[in-house]
Amino acid sequence: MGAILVLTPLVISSWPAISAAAMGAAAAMGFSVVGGATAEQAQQKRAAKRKVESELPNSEIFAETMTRGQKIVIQRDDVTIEIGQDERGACTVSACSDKRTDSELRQIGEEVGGRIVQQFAYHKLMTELKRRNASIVEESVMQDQSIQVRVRL
Amino acid sequence: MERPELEITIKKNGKMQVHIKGVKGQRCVAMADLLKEIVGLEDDRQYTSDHYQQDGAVRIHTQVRDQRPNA
Repeated sequence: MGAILVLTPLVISSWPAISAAAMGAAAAMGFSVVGGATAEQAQQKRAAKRKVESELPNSEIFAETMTRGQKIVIQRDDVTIEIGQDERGACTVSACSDKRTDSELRQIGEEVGGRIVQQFAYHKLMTELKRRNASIVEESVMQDQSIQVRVRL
Repeated sequence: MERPELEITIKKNGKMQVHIKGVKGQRCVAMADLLKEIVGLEDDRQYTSDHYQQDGAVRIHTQVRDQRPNA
């Protein structure tokens, strides 16, 4: 029936596009947005908390689209997540809590990172397909949190 | 002719599977290339039976030989 492709998204974009994906991921996972914060404010919030930082694979935020130290901070229960950029320009996800182990924080951080990639890839692909006059026939979020979309070209 | 369809699954870790349906031959290859360009890295590509069908065109190859008996 044509072809089956397996693809890994590249998350290379401006800060507004990546932060929109982060907001979408936060909402889908039950996090609430604490608000945009500077590095200093974020530092104060996570003081005395355990922190595990991971890099979003295949990601790059265009430096000119964000100010130095700009972050998004989201929170669910005792866990605070900061989404920002490292020195090399990659998107980073830091999970902080004083009640979790490093391995738990790493897992939560990776889950959030995965959902950011999911949201980013969904919006990028849908935007490009709509530009080519594609129409969405069916769309649903499955029990395993995957997004399924049927598109007619 | 039926319009082509894409069945897209984006997993919670961001990995994506796209099933291209109703597109044959070179158009199918072009569509797969376009999707790769939009999304990023291609991990796997498998063409299914439809891909190998031609777009309704039938090519007939004929060869005429001189079969006159030798005098």
